[in-house]
Parts: sequence; structure tokens; C-alpha cells
Amino acid sequence: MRMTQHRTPARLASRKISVVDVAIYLFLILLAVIMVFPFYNMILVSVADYVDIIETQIYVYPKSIDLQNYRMALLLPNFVNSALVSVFVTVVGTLLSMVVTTLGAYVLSRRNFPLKGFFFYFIVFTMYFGAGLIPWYLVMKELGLINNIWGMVIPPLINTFYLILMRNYFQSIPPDIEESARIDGANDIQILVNILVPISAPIIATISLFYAVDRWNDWWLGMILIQDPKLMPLQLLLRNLVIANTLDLGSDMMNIMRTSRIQVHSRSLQMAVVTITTIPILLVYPFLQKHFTKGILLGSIKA
Amino acid sequence: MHGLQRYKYLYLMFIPVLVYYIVFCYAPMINPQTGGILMAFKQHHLTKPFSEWEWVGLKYFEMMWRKPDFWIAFRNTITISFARLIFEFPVPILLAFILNEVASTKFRRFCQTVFTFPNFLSWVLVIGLLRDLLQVEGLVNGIITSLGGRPYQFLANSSVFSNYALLILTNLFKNVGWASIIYLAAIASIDPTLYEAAKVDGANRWQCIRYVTWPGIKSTTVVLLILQCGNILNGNFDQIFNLVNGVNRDVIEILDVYIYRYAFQQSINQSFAAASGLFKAVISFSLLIAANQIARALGEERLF
Repeated sequence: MRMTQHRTPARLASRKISVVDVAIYLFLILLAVIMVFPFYNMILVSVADYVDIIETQIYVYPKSIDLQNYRMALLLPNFVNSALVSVFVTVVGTLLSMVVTTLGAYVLSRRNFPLKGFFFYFIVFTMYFGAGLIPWYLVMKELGLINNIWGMVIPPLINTFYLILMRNYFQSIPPDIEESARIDGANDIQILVNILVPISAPIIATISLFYAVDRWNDWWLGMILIQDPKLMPLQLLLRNLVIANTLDLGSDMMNIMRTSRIQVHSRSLQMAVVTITTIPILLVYPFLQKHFTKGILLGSIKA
Repeated sequence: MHGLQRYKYLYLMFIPVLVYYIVFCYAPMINPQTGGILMAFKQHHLTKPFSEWEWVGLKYFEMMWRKPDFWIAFRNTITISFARLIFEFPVPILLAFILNEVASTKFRRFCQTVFTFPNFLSWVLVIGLLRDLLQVEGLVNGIITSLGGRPYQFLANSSVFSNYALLILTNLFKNVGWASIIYLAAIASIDPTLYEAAKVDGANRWQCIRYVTWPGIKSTTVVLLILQCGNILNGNFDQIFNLVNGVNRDVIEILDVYIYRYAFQQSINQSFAAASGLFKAVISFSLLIAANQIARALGEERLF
């Protein structure tokens, strides 16, 4: 009895909700609503039919759900091609990036490797100084990476920052773990593949996701290096449709719209493409969220 | 020789990395075939090889010096960066303080989930989302007109205030959640006994923030602020490039966008673009090095 009596006031005190608490909750809820609203608007507009978009100025609740806009989005010239290009660049790019980044991170994490310091500064220098757009572009041209799908895979192969994150992780692994394997005569490749990679799953997952998101989101390389509309990544198609207004809708699509009397508002079409482009990020987001805190912390605090 | 033998696997493993950096980072700088950064000092020719280009010395740098649009872009880069430092930089810190006051872990996690998501979207997508809301027939203008106002051209106007607000607010929309993570982590690493001691001394919530939380994250804040200062010439290309148009160009065009324009868009002059790029890279390099040295001198947390 005495114990409960003793405890009660403390528990009450910690549960007391003050005006400040209420204000904080309200503020955060309001902020969350503001942050989510553009996405809500995106979905709403993407499923709205033509008449509703034209007639309703303040469109905040669905009056119609019309998936025709998505059908039309899929019929955009080169839409399917673009989606496939983006998937290819993301999957192949991430795999290749991970292989090369892991190798580099491993080598730079070896404590007694004589050229460690030199190699480290060799790669870090590129974070501080770049040749500039035109000199870089001319080298890409020399390498035949213009209008070449590999132009979106190879030039961004290594992100120096991610490589250093991974090196830090490898460095934090106690050396005794690999000692016995080394005594058994394992070489560096065997140690990396059989010992370090299996215990580094968290950092490998984090960096893979970072690379994948970067590749999926890239439009800049496509804009600079790709002219062939068949090789355009999805983000570039999106940019041409929504921001630059340079996407030619193509006669096929115009014909379909005319003959089937489908009216698609350009806003709906745009938001349908935006939605489709968001979905892959939304799908990996839970995994990203699980890991990114570790990633950003490792990167900013240690090194 | 012994070292080479002993570390042969390490050398072997590093070859792809080395090749990558040589080909994609160093070859663009120094390159007898394409010219590298030396092309800023030569007259550009579309057909002749680099070795036959004529040396023009500092011609393009003098041209840059005399061009009013270069200085407009230069000024914009700096004023936009300062505006970001003043109005953007403190926001994630404040958000971290506020989130830290939330007792419910679930609600805090929910907020973080919502706030961080836009960080993983491309600028093309984020600007695309916001364009629909801000365009003349969009929702925001719908509300303005229904309240009796006149539709406002958020995306195409030459007002400094409106454009800067657009840049800062869209960047906060995309980044505030992500940027606050580092401060939340710094707060989480504060020794909890400090809070207990403060409470025993009768500190209220505000005093806890003022005398425990803030001192606990001050060094992180200072380091991040200095690193941000080092980046003053790197505006946000992706954001601004997707917002810039003929109407707002004089207000928001930054150096990177300017260089892109001379490299690929109008009145193409590749040597001039290379010269402006080199000018920016050199200043930027010095600023970054200085920022890092200061950050390093200040404390244990540093980048390299």
C-alpha cells in the first residue's frame, strides 16, 4: 500500500498534459497535414475526370474516380520504354555500384595497407574539386556515353560519400574477427566475401538503398547525355511532361483520345505520371527508414 | 617488392575504383584530347582537335568579368545561400526541439515518417507536385480567388520576396525532416542524467531546452553551419533548374544554372562555360577547405 501511495503522484505528474503539449501536438499535426497534402492533391487530381477538374476550383475531395488518366499515361509515347530504362538503370546501376564501392571501401579500411592514405586523398579530392560541366561532358562524349544507356550507369558508379561511409563501417569491425581466417590462409577477397560482407548487412542494405534511390531519381544524366527519346529515363520524361512542357504527346495518343472520345486534362495526366514515379520510392521507403538514421549518423559524425 | 606481393589482392581489388576515379573525375580535369580545364584558356572549335585550338589566355575570364549576367548569377548564388542560412538552417533544429518534446514515441515516429519522405523524391517530382498546387488554375489560386483575391503567378514572377520564399519553402518541404534527424540523434546522445539533475533543481521544460538540450547540440550545429558556409557557391542546381524560367531568371539563376545555360542551351560557348566553371570550382574549393579546417579545429566532429 505504501508503495502504491508513494508512486501515484509521480505517475500522475508525468502524465499531466499541459497547454504546451497540446500546442505541440496540434502544430505537428498541422505540419503533417501540410506535408501530406501535396501527395493527396496528386492522387486526387490523377483520378479526377476532365469535367471535375475544369469545373471545380477548390478540388479537395474526390468527386469522381476515373482511372482513364493512368491508362493514358501508359500510352504516352515511350512511357513503357522510359520505365524499363529506369528499372534497368536502377537495378544494374545499384548492383555494379555496390560491387565497386565495397571493394574500394574494403581496401581503404585496411589498417596497414601502405597506399591507404594516398588513395584516400585521391578519392576525397574529387569531393572538393571537379573539372566542371563542359570538360566532363567532352570526356563522356569521347567514351561514347552519349545516347547510351550505360551513360546513366557508369558515370555515377561511385559516390565518394557512400564509399567513405562503408569504409568507416568496415573500420569499426574488430580485426580479430578475420584473424583466424587469415591464419588459415584466406586472401583478402575471401575475407571480404566470406567474413566482412555477411556481418555488414546493415551498411550494405543502407548504401544499396541510397544508390537505388539516386539512380531511380536521376534525370540530370539523362538530360545531358541522352537525346534518343527511347532511352529517356522516367524522371526525364516526367520533367519534359510536367516542367519543361516539351513532351510531344504523339499522334497515336491523340488518335486514341479522339476516336474513343476520352478527354484527359493535362493536369490529371501529369499527376498520374507523378504518382507512378513516386510508387517505387514509396515501396522502398519502409526499408529506407529502417536504415537511414544509421547511415546519416555514421557519415556525419565519424570519418 | 615484398609489399607488392603481400598486398597484391588489395591492389587488384582497388583497380576498378582507381580506374573509375581516373576516367570520370581526373580525366575531365587533365586531358590532352578533350582539353580538360585548360580549354578555358583556349578558343573553342567544334571541328578541330584540342591540340589545334588557339591559346587565348584569359580572354574568357575577362569576358566573364564584363558580362552583367554573370555577376547577376554570382550575386544570386550568394544572396540565395545567405537567405538559406538565415531562414532555412535553423528550421530543422527547431523541429528537432519540438519533436523531442513529444512524449509518445509512436506519434514522434509517425511525424518523422511523414516529414522525411519527400527527401527521397527527385526535385523534378517535388516541383511537379507543387506546380499543380501553385499554378494559376491550381488549388492555392482557387482559394485566393474565392476569397476575392486575384490569381498570383507563384511560378513566374520577378519578385525577390516571392521567389526566395518559394525556394526556401520548397526546400524545407523536401528536406526539413531529413535535416532534423542529425539534431535528433545529437539530442538522443545527451546524457539523460543531465535532465534528471536539471529537474531536481526545479528546471521547467524551457529551461531544460535552454540549459541542457541546446548546449548538447551546439557543437553539431556549429559544425554543420560552417560546412554549409563552405557550400555557399553550390546553390541547389536541381531545385533551381526546375523552377527557373524567363520571368524569374534574373532573381534565381545561380552559377551552376548559368554555366549549364552557356554550355548547352542558348548562345552556346563551351570555352566560356568551362571558364565560368573553373572560376566557380576554384573559389568553391578554397571555401570548402577553409570550412573543413575551421570545423576540424573546433571540435571532435568533423567530416575528414
